[in-house]
Amino acid sequence: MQALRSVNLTIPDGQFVVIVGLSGAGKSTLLRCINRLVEPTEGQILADGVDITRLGEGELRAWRTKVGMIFQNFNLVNRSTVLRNVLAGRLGHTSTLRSLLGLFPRSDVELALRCLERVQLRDKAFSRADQLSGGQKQRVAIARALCQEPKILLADEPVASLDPPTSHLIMQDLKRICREDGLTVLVNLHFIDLAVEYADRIIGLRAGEVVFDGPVSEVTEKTFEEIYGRSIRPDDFRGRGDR
Amino acid sequence: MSRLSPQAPDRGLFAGIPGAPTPWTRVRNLAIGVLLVALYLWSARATDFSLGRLARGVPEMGNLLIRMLPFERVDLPGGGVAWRWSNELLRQQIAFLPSVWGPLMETLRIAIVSATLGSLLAVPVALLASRNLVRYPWLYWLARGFMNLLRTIPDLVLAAVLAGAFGVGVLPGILAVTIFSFTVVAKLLSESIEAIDPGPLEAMRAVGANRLQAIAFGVVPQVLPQYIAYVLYVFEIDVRASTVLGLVGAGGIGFTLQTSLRLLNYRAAFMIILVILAVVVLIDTISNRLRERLL
Repeated sequence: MQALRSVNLTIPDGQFVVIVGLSGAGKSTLLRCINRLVEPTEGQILADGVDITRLGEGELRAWRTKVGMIFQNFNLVNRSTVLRNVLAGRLGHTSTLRSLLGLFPRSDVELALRCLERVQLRDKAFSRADQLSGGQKQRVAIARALCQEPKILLADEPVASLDPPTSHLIMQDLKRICREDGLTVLVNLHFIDLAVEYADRIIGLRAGEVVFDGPVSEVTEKTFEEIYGRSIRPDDFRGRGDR
Repeated sequence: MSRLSPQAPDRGLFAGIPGAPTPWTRVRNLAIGVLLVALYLWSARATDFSLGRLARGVPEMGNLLIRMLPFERVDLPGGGVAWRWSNELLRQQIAFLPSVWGPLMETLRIAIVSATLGSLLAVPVALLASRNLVRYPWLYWLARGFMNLLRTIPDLVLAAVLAGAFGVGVLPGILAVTIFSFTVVAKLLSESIEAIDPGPLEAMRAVGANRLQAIAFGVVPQVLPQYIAYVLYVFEIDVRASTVLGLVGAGGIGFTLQTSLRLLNYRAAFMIILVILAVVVLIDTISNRLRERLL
């Protein structure tokens, strides 16, 4: 079965794009095709004129260093320190021998600490990742992605495992950092209010096909009913969770 | 017998549900039960195993035990035999203890060397035998096959074959226990690796890490505590294994035990068994404590 069908999108540099759809609509697959964690069966993905579906092994790794990724389950190494987790973002830029011995250049360690500072977690550098809260873990994951010095950031349901207030904090961090660095961002979300609040542009996926693509100003409740193929329900909203 | 009739439940409760038990499920389970009982009876007959023989053996054990303890044999005038406690024999037994030290250390050294070598060799093979790390199925099956093949050879057979090649002594013992340790650690480690959280590994692929880097940063931290626990565990087994191999001529305390048994010096053998028991309990306890703290 195909997860995606006749998807045709152009994303300009620096745009904050939110991809919306029910689970199973193909959001994850779309995101993972971009760094080829999933191999597309046909079609092209062009980045600066280069078809990344045709990259060889070494070229693919070089491409991946330019694409940071954030996951729903953070995907940190729980038993390692926060700093080591963030430094893992430098692996694509570090020789095998150096990285196996843990001998990252001083400039990389400085970069990693700066990235942690940007997510307000510098003082946690030597804590073990499993001692952090969910929101802190996701911020470490953001720092790891930033440490790659990427051009593109992919975020696959980055707040689905977090509570409402933390969800907003993470989205704000993401938005602020990406503005500062001029990153192009693709975020998968299924919460309507988060999508509308943070996106420049919304892409709606339903059963593997793009059913909506436009600026956030054109989006109405009706748009989401079309994307979801059903009426809107309260649990489609993350809410503020304010006390 | 109506329960076995191949219709009844089909029409009932589970009708139309895939995987529901059919009447034949019951027939099959009964057949398996009958087969297992038959297998046991067949084996018991062939080996002449019976409770009666077991009961007749127990007094013999008592007889053996008394000759291991410091009792002096006294021939009674009427032709009977009595046993009398002897402080002199006890002193002899205690005086025998220091001579056990050398062979005991040799056994421990065999265990340490073998556990270390075997555990190190296990790492690359375990990595290749983990489905979630290896891209080529043939490589995975090759590593699996190699591991499984070695594991089918009992350590005693291995020692006997190696003794044929290298002569009787410590070397074939070390080789046999090393291979044995390798098979145990490789198997356990590859299972641990296959059970890791795939998330960090995916994240490592996403940052552009190569295979070795992904393993070092995504896999090693996840399995290191288990690996150390396996090394300790295999060391425990190796202490026992190298003792047993000593019995077949691979040196160490097992060889000393074998010698005293051959010379019918049961009181010496008893002291050796006591020492082995104490050492094994001590090492198992320490190693268990360490493993509990690790996991």
